[in-house]
Order: sequence, then structure tokens, then C-alpha cells
Amino acid sequence: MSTALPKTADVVIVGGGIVGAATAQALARAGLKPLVLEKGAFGGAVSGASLACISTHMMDLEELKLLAWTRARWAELDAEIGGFEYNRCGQLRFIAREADVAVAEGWIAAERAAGLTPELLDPAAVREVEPALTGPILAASWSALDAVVNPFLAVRALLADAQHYGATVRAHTPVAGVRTEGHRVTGVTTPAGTVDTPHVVLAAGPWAARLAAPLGVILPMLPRKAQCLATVRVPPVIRRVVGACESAGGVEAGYTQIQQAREGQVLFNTVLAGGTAQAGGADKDNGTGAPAAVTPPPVVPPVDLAFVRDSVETLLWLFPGLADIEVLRSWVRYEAVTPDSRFVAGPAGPEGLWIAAGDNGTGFVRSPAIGRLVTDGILGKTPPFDAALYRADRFATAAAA
Amino acid sequence: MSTPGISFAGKISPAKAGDPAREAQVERLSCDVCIVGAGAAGLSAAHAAATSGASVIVLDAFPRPGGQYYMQPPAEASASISGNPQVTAGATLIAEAERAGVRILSGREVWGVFPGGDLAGGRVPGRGVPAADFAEGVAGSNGFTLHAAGEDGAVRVTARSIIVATGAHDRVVPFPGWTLPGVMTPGAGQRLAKLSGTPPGRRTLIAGSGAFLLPVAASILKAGGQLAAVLEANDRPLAAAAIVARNPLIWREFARLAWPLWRARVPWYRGGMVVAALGDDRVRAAVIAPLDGRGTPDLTRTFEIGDIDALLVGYGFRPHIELTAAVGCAHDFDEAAGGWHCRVDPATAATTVPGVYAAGETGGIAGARPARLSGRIAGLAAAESLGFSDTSPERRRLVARRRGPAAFATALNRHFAPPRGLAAAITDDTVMCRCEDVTAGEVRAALADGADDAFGSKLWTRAGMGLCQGRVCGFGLASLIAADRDLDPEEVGFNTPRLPLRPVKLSTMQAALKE
Amino acid sequence: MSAIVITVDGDRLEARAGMTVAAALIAADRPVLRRSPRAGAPRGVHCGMGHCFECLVTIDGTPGRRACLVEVRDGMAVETGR
Repeated sequence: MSTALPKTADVVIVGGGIVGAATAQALARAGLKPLVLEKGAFGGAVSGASLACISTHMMDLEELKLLAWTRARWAELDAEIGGFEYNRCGQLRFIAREADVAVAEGWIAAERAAGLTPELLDPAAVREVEPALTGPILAASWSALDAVVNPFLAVRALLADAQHYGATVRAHTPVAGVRTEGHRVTGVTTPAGTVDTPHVVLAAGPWAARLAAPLGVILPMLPRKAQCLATVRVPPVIRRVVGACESAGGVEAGYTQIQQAREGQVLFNTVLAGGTAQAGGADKDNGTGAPAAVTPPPVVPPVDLAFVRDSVETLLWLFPGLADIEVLRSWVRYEAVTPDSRFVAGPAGPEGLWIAAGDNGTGFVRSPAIGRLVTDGILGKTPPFDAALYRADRFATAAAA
Repeated sequence: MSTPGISFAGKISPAKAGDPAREAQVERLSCDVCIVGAGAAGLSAAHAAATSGASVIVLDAFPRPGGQYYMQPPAEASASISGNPQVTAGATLIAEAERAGVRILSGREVWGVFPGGDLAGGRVPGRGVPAADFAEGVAGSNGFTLHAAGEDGAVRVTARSIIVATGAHDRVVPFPGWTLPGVMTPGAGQRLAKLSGTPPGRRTLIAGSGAFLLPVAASILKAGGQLAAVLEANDRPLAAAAIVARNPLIWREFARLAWPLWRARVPWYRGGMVVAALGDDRVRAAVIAPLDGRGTPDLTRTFEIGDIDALLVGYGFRPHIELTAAVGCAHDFDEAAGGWHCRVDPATAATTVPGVYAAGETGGIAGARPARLSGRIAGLAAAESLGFSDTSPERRRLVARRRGPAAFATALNRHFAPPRGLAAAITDDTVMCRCEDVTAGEVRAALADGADDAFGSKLWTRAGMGLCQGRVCGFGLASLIAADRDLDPEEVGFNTPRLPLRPVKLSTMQAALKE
Repeated sequence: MSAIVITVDGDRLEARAGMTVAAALIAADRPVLRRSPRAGAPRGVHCGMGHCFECLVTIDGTPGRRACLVEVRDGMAVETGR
């Protein structure tokens, strides 16, 4: 691989996570020559924290059209490219509190009305689906068509496909800024030189707001610590993605995801008592009148002990038979949280600037759709789902209203 | 359930609906100074801190204290193993420490160290907290909580200060066949011979570089093994002899070790390296290539040494810095100190994190004598900073006494620096990551796909993600990537270790983290 | 030195008290301890000091134990993955 930076590109994508990779693939397959610039390792930031569940269940009712499209798209990608351990294993969302049965029933009814097929299972039925789940749950919802992929290999496969169709990718190439002339994007600057381009896609997760701010585009996005634990390789024991039913109180009231990787490691994370404060509480005045972007810390800290304690407690509560297996590793990444928990995807600020960020911790499944939205935007086409939900100016509109 | 022939590292216990997970027992202890590692440095530190009046607990991974240099064979061992002066000196050191009140907990590996002595580190909110509120200290003067587990049970120790004396491990770079049974590190051969009286094989070839090859050879002969040869990569014996000649303190030890080799007529080759191990299910032969003036093997002029069933290969040592890195101490790179090592103040053995001291090889490879002295310095200084006796005059004398042997070690390390071309023997089908079975070809393919460094190739190949967490393959991967990218291996750096530092059972973790 | 008896994959093996399981197996010329996870290649003792996890065997029914850190005990049952 040549390491010299190209002088020009049809589109520069800032960020080589799953969103940048999916966007690069969509653009390259549409005949453009995108250049992906990643500040660190591909998939090493936000995407690396993901447990990459490809799900339509308990996500966002308004987004069901996009979610159904993107879930189908992942299956197509597996057939077309493969190599990323796509596994349509289905997803269970366990219910631990009486009050949450009604929450689950609400989701199930609404999703079934939209043509999806989730169902509610009693504990005996849950054990038919997931025999090792012997903990004292009340019930679980079951979404049989949900899948999981290996997040690292998915990034690699999409980038490889993009390169096959003419994309160029560079790791360890941080973009310092987006260059403009008049009200038009003209390129990006990096320590390795500048690249001329008419289109820049900010797919930089929690770092996108920092790059957008100097262009007058204020993205109300905050980094949030995402943590995960993994055990040593063990024989097959967990067949499904096992998550917590969304609680009365939303994701922040409690969050769990447990699954077993194809290589045998049990991956798990739980936050029982989450914090709050996504709502701009951490914004700081930078003296220009505009709020400064908040980005993740330069040195990634270790996992929180409370997180470890909650995660281990929950795993053993659900799967007591795992008590003797060993935890091998832990990791921390930062995801980008928006006020309404949706992506920002579409044009913003100067002509030629596109945003594709705001994963809210469940971005993996949506990334092919976000790539499609941006690609259709650049090509002047109409995407197959409602682009208005993801407009960059929706927060300003909401504030003005 | 299990795949025939392939070992999983964990066992699933069958559970019935409603069964709670089996609870583990974790003993809770507290002390003034907790020392990790019961080798030359750790034992000296423990004795010094305890005689100053501090309460001291030592945590050690092995079944018996002593570390590598003062390795203690079991009580039942024959006189031929237990009679040597190192064993006797180690036994004295252990007895003195215990007499001074030190509690040595063997068979406990530290899997976590956290700032805060009160409980398990304090409850902090998790996922929902924005980064701007990030307020975890990496360390503080409130002390530390150490979690350890192993064959002899789990403990949670709160300590006001900690001394990291975790020693070093052999520096290894992969070569074709290095995963064959019988291919080991010199350190492994030494432990087998000295601890169990078992040579690593019937007929052993020792290869690599550094003064350590000599005692390993001597131990194997003493344990009844044959030596095919010793192969030293360095080709400047006169320079080595000059370093030894300038240090009369080690003449006697040198003679004690060299004599049996001379008497057994063990062939001693110089200026070559092992570029392949051969065999089907175990090692049978080694392929040797001569090294050119730039330290690169000439793969066109190789020869074989056959009829072996053990091959020990190691190029000096790397300091064990997982613990000091985990608590946020600063580290420096110096080839003459074994590469990356913890930065320490020579006068106190203090690191850049308050309350954390590093003694012995953790602060740079220097051998047993400087390790003992730095351990004593660390023990005295740690106790003094907690309000026990003022020992600064003694520490000044210790610093002065350490200077000579430390300079000798530095000169040896520099002389026996690993050849620059170690990675040249790596072929595409050479296994790089032993734990995850990742070959060099797979790593190179990831590099070609755009992964640009050790972290990127780890994500795409799992190299370094397995049970050893990159401890074994880290240097080899760095060397491979450096060779591919025309960089220096040191530029590849090292990964910050993450919780847990060693695999730990879920039930133990659960019990250890309870309020 | 007192001799004790362990079983390795069902075979009786004499060992000396205090020696590690790794040493007992090597002394008995049984260097293959397990198979690697993907290639199924033979593996044995490598670092000998607990860092590399290459010497994992099943001891008295518990898998994943490091032969280089565990000392033999009379009647111990060792199963390798060879």
C-alpha cells in the first residue's frame, strides 16, 4: 500500500469507522472516487465499542422504514461480500421488572403494526430459545430476524469493497480542518498535506462537531463513554443477542447487551444505573459566542469499576452457569449522543459539507442507510427513506420553535 | 459441546432455572505497603519496609517466593538442586522478611489495581456520563486497592503505598516453527531445571543473546541434560570479556557457571541466529543462519543442528511494566535497559505516580544485585514517606553501592543488544500471535488492506487479543510492522494494559467488587 | 525426594513432589500439551513462568490451568488437549 496522500478526491470522508466505511462503499459503487481519512486505526474508535447488533427491535418507531431497509441491506452485504461473521441469531430482550412488561408489549404491538414480527416469550419459552438463560427473568421479547456482525471485520470488508471499486483509504491521517472558498467546500488539511475535493463527509463520530464548528455548523453532539468486557474463549453457550428490555425511563435507566462471538468469547456490558446529562450540560463557552464542541478525552481511560460490577452481576444473574469462566479483557470507546438519539445525516453549512455522525450507541445497524442517505444527497437522488428525520438543522428549528 | 482436540480456557457449569451463580470467597486485607513480586527486589523491599515499622504484604504469582534469581525448589528437592548459593541466599532473604513481619501470599496474581484505599474504587456512573465530567484519578495519595487471585485463593488488599517488583520476561521474536512443543524461552528452561530438576529436553540447543544463556546452560547440565550447543548472536567476545574483566565482583560467579560447560565440551557458536525450528509434532532440529555486520541473517548460508528435543531462544529481557502502566506511571525507552521500562527516581525508587514505587527490573533490566539494592531503597523510601523512620543516609549509601553493578548491567545489555534483523526470519506462514493462531501473512494482509499499526492489525486479525494479551507477541508484532513500514520497533510503542491484568473468574470478580 | 503418582490422559506417571505439572510432563517426554485454537497445531510449554498461557491443561476437571504454575499432587488427574 502506497502511503502518499492523494492530492485530489471526488469526496473526502473524514472518519474510518463503520459509517465512513459504508459511505465510502456506497459512493465507490456509485462510480465516485472517495478518499477515507482516519485519524487512528480503522474501526478503532466508536465502531470498536459496538457489539454490532443488526436489529429493528426497540429502536425508534419513526425510523422503522430505515431500519427495515438497513437490516435487509446487511443481509445483502453478507451475500455480496461476506467475511464479517454475519449471524442471524435473533435477539432476546429480557424483562426484570413487572412495569417493563407493558413497555415491551407497547413496542411489540407498534412493530407488528408496521409488519415486523417480534413476540413476547414467557421464561419457559425463553429457555427454548436460549437454554443457558436460567436466571429469574419475568419474560423476554424475541426478535428472530435480528442479527449480529463482527464490527472490526465489517469495517474491513466494507473498506476493502470500497477500495475494490476505486476508493482510497488512509489510517493515521487526522484531518485538521475543512477548507472553504466563499460558501463552498474546497478541501481538507492534514499533517500529510492538503487534499482538494468538492465534498467532505464528516463521519467522525464524537469528533465531527469539532470539525463542523469552525464552518458555523453547530452539532449538539456529546461523547459518551461506551464500555465492554470479554471472557476467554469458551464452548458455545449463548446462542442469541441478549439485551435488556428498554425500561420505563428509556435507555439511560438501564442497558445490557450480551452475546458470544463466533470465536467463543462472551462479550457483555451492562449499565444498571446510568447517568443522565446528554442534554448539552457539558457544553462550554469558547468565547466566540458559539458553544465549543465537546470531544472525547485524548487518552482513553479505563473501564469504570461500577460498570464492571454491574456487568458481571447482570451476566451471572442471567447466566449463573458462567460463574467459573474468566474475564479476559475490557475496553472503552466514545460514542456520539444527540438530543433526540438520532443520527445527523445530510448537508450542513457550506455547499459540499455533509454530516454522517451521531450514532447514539446504536449506529452500527444504521450505517449502510446513513451511507446511502449521504451518497444519494451527493448524487442529487432521493433516498428510499425519510431524510428529514436526520437533517442537521433540526435542533436549531426545535430551539427556535 | 467442545471441539475435539481444541482446548477451551473455560468451563460452563450446567445450571437449572433459578439457580444463583456460585459465590466466590475473597479475603480482605489491608497494610501500609503492598509489594507485587517476591523476587530479589520485592523481598528486599518487603524486608526494608517491615524493619522500618510498616506492615507489609507481598503478592506473588508463583507457588513459592524467590522470583527467578532466588527461585526456591520444594522442600523435598534433592541436595543437588537446593544446595546452590542462590537458593541458600534466597531462603535467607525470605526468612529474614518473614521474621520482620512480612506476610507473603504466594500463588496470587494481581488482576487489578485501583486508586482509592477505601473500597473497590468508589462508585462512579457509567455509560450516561459525558466525557467532560470524566473525573477518575489514575492514582492518588489515598492509597490503592489491589485485587489478586490464583491457585491459593483470591484477596483484596488495601494499601497506602505499592511497590511494583514484577521482574522481567524473555524477549522473543517469532521464527518459523517457534510454536513447536520443545521450543521455549531460556527463562522456561531455567525454571524447569532449577525448580523441578528437569532439563527442558534430553538434548537442548540454547540460542539468542545475553549473559543469561550461561547460567541456563549450567543449570541444564546440572539437571542431567545434554547440550547440543550454545549459539550467541553477538560476535564480539573480546568486548564481552573486557566488560567482565572490569568487574571483579562477578569473576567468581562467572567461573562457577562457565566451568561445567568447558568441562562438558559444549560447542559455543557466535554470530548466528535460529531462523527456523523443524519437526512435526515437536522440535527435532534448528536452522541457523550467520548474521552479517548489520545484524541481518544471511538466509543463503544456513546450517542445521539436529538431534535435539528442546530449543531455547531468547534475546535478553523486557521489563514487566503492566502494573506500572496500568496505574499511569511514565515509562521510557532505552535499549540498554531492556526497552520500555518504568521511570524511577534512583534516590527513592518512586515513580511518577504518588504512592507507587518500582523496584528491580520493572525500572530497567539490571540483574539481581541492583534489584536487591533498588528493592531496599524502595522499601525504605516507601515506609519513610508514610511516616516511619528517616532512612535517607542509608538510602544514599545504597544508591552509591548500586551504581557499579548497574553500570555493569547496562554495559552488558548494550553489548548483547538483539540483532537488528530478528524479524527477517519471519515467513508468511509463521505464527505471530500464539494465543489466537494469527500468521505473519494475515498480519501483512491486514497492513495491505489499510491497517497501519499494531492496534489496527489487532482489530482485523485478533493478533494480541488472546490470553496473553500481547505479552508474548507484542515485541514480535512491533518488529514485523516496523520492518514492513521501515520504522524502529520502539516507535510502535506498547499497549496500555486494561482490566483485568490477568484472566479472572467472573465469580471472583463479582465477589471482589462487592462493597 | 518423595515419589508421587499422577495420571496423564489416563496413564499413570511417577513424579517428584514439588515439581510443576509442566516439568512432570516434560520429564516423561510428553511435551505436547494442547492444540492451538484455529490451526489445531501442537503446543507445549513456552515461557514457563505463567505469562504465555501456552501450557493450558485440564487439572482435576478444571480446564485452562497453567501447567507451569501448578505443582503436582499425589493422585492428580491431568488431561492434555493433544
